[in-house]
Amino acid sequence: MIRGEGLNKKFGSFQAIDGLNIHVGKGNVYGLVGPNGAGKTTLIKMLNGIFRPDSGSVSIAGQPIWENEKLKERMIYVSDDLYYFSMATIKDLAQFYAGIYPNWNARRYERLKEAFPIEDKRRLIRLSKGMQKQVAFWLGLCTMPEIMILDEPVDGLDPVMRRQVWSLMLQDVAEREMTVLVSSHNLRELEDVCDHVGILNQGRMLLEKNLDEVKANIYKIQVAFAGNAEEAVRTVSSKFQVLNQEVFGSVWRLIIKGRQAEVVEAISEHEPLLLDWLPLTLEEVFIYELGGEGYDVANIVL
Amino acid sequence: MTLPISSSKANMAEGQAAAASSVMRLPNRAMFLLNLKRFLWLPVLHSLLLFLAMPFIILVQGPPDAKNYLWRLNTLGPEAAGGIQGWFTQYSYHNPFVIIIGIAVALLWAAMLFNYLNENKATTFFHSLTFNRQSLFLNLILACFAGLVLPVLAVTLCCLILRLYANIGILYGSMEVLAWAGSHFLLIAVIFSSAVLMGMFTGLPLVQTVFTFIFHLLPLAMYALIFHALHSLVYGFPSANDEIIDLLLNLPFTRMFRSLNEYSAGYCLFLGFLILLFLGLALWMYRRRPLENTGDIIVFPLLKPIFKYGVAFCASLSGSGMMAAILNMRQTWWMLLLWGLIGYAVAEMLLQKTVRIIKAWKGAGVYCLVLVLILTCIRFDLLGYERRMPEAARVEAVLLPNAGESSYRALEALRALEGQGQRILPQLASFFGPFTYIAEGEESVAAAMDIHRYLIENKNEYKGKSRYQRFTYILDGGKTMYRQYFIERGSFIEENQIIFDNQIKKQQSHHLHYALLEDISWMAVRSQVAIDTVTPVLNQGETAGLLQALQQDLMERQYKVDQGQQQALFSVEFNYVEPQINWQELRRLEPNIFDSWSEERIARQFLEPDKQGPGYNRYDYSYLSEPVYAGYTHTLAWLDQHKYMEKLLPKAENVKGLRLYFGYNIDGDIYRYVSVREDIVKMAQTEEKEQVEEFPAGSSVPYASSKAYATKESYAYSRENIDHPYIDITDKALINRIIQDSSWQPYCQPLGEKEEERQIYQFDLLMENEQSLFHGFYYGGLPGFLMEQAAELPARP
Repeated sequence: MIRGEGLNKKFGSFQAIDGLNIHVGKGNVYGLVGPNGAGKTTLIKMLNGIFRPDSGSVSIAGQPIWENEKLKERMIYVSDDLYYFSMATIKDLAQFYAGIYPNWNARRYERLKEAFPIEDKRRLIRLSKGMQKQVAFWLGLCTMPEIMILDEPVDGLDPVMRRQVWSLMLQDVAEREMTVLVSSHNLRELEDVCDHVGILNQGRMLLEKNLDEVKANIYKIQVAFAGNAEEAVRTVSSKFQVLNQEVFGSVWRLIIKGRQAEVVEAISEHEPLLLDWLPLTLEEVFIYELGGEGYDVANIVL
Repeated sequence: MTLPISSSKANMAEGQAAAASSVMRLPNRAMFLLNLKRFLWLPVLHSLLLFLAMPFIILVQGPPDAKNYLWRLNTLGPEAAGGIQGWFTQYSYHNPFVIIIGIAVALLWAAMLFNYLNENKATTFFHSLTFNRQSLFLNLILACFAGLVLPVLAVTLCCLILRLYANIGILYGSMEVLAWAGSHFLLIAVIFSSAVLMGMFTGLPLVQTVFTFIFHLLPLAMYALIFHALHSLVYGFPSANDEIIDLLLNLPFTRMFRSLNEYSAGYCLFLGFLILLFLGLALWMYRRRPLENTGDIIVFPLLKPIFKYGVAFCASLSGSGMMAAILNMRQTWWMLLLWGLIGYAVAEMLLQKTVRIIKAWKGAGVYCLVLVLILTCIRFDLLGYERRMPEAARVEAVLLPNAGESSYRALEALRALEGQGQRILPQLASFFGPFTYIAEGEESVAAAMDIHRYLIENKNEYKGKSRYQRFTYILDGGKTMYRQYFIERGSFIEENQIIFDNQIKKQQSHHLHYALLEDISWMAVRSQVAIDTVTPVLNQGETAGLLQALQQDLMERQYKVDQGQQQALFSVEFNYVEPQINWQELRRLEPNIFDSWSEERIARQFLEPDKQGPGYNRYDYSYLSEPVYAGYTHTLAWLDQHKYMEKLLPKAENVKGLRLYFGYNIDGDIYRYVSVREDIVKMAQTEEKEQVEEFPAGSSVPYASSKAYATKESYAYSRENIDHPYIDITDKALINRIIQDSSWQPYCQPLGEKEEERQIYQFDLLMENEQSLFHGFYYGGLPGFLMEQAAELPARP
């Protein structure tokens, strides 16, 4: 549905996006994650046709997005930093959207008043940041979008409202095959809603996979050996990529990349006393993947 | 909570039906209404201010003016009632408030409409909407044009309605109002569209307005700065170019402030073209605008070097010009370099948003290098500009200093008329002439070029002086070449004599040579010797005789005398009849005949449709005056023969006495000894310098310049003058004899002659209050009958 090929974008001498490819399938909920300054917002603006790539192409449903009014009628972009006209009320903005989005659904607008309990006569700039975000989702969903692109979408929303918003969006994903691309630092939340994930660092796409696949090849194990543990870990490390290792007494905790059966076989050769497979969160995948790229938590003692 | 929002088939169908009906992009009703609503306050404020600046004032001042006009019309008749032409103009075209409001509103519209381009989140929002840049731009422009036109229409309607009230309708016409509304809208639309274009270059809101002012004033400023700098640096480079000035003064922004009220259809089309051009360019740039550079002073990376070097160049010219003015010296190379570097540094700081710009030294170095190269070219005249003279064979005419190019064009047009068998009317020759300083013909052109050649060859002598006298070469094919030099008064006499004393030139140069008897409506002779003595020439035959005598004298004028200083004895005053002139034909013959100033004069003097109007300066209201000097022997003889002389010369009965003395000489200039008031004598005798300094400059003490009075030396002159010997003659018969004798003449100082070398006796006619009425001079020595009195005159100090 969304396809970016060979994307490059430079701001002065700074390479913000560097030969990046991205593919989001129809009906996917795609989580875009990456450290600060990785180029997420720049990429999102290119996918929305706001920034023009220096090179490469962005197409949506097979059509180039740049200056494509018809495509934009089918998309909604909710940015992290919302803008509203100074004098406009929610109702004014709804009327404006109704006039520019051909799929505007007035019945849905009325129904969603239940979900977003804000008087629509209120002026938008008088609302709190969280309420403004709610309005963005409220109106955005009423345009019946085929694609929603969200940049830090639920920042400022309370936990109930977050769940509400995701629930509404996921209904559209389920029933209308709406495609969602979401950038967030809340990896815990993404883990719950995303089926695909892309990890961005320094303008490059480090990893782009189905979330299950991501988790399938990276494991956290606890292991204790009867014999020379250090020798055993060194041997395993020579066969597989160990992203992280920690020692707690005689228990070793390893983050390891590789096929599960092969890892088990390699460890079994050293007769482990203990071998536990622990669940790996998306946040850990993110941290360990980026750790491998030199983006790590610095051990600074103040 | 799970809220089913899209499961129903009805919902789906509704969405699809909506998708099928496409949203019309231009105009998009929702966008249009939203923008009008967002900025509604601006047209409301615009309407209110315009209402206060125009209809409100008309409402206050109109009824009394209308009443007054009607009273004059009914009581005094149309001739005396005066006109109402231009009444509305003062409240519209000439109303500075209307102009300022228009410009301010246009700038505000442009700044607010595209303000979203200067703010990241607004930019993101607008460009994520369902519009491409073109339809977004056009929808915004459409809303703005509606917002601009509605107040103008509302005020126009008010002005039209006001015509129905309290006779205000007689003061202005509906068409006047509509014409103003059209031109005013076009002008503010030009300002608006240019501001939109400027907004596309920058990502900072205030800079857009600054750029707009710069954009409109830049042509005029660049012209002034470049000409000033080149005039300073290049020997002979003119300080101005009239054609360029004419062009620049007609640009919309300048024209608005010149309060012109004539907007031809052609000019309106030009304004319309500018609006389309600016908006077209703005759209072109908008579609290419890199939105990520929001907040930068220049958003297009490619334009940043142009901005940097442009600012440096402007700073070079303006800063060095200002510095030169403060230091009271000419612009020099180091001033240009210094200010160029300052400008470059400022531009870099603005672009980089930091004061740490040391890394930009390479760019500054390039600028300095280019500037040094240009200055080297100028210094050593590598392009040969300073030495260049046209080929004599190509020169059709040389317009010497004081001759305007328009007067040459006019002369050409008049000749063309003559070529068609039409007579050149003296009224036209008077309007456009004199044509004295136009050198034509092989001999005259060669003489003019000799002056030019001398000035080039002696560059070092003249370069440092204020060069304000212009040479204009009219070359074959209508081309022109301008040079400007310093020419000392009284220099190049021989060359000027060749040009001036040319008989054909004399014939062409004075309007009276074109005059026939029927051209003259009346004629009178005024005495310049006796106060308030004017004698009309009543007889037609006499008029013809006087005209002929005057024409003969004008033909016999000599350059040295004519260009020297001389005092007239009499003046012949007259007026031409109002001429029938085919201006269209003149323009057809010579399209460049009129510059903007002469067009205004023509409109005022000849073309004003309502000749009762206050703007109309009727041709026959002003009269012409031709001085009669001592050398005008034909005229003087005619006046003597027809008994005018005795009527016009002063009489002994009317004067207190006559004082005779040697002319007094200070530093080569004659300072005539005239009557000295007692109080001033006393002041001078006190020897108090402070008091002497209080001598009124125009008082009839021995007069030096007002500057001389402020110096110690002037005090010395005053004392010497007071002590200067003289004799007073009170015998009325002798005074009358002196006056009527022909051996004296008024003051005459031909060009190039030194007065102290001449033996000069002088007399003053004194009035009752001791003030001098008139001075007569004996340049050829005293007449015999005065020798006896002169013997009493003590020797010259």
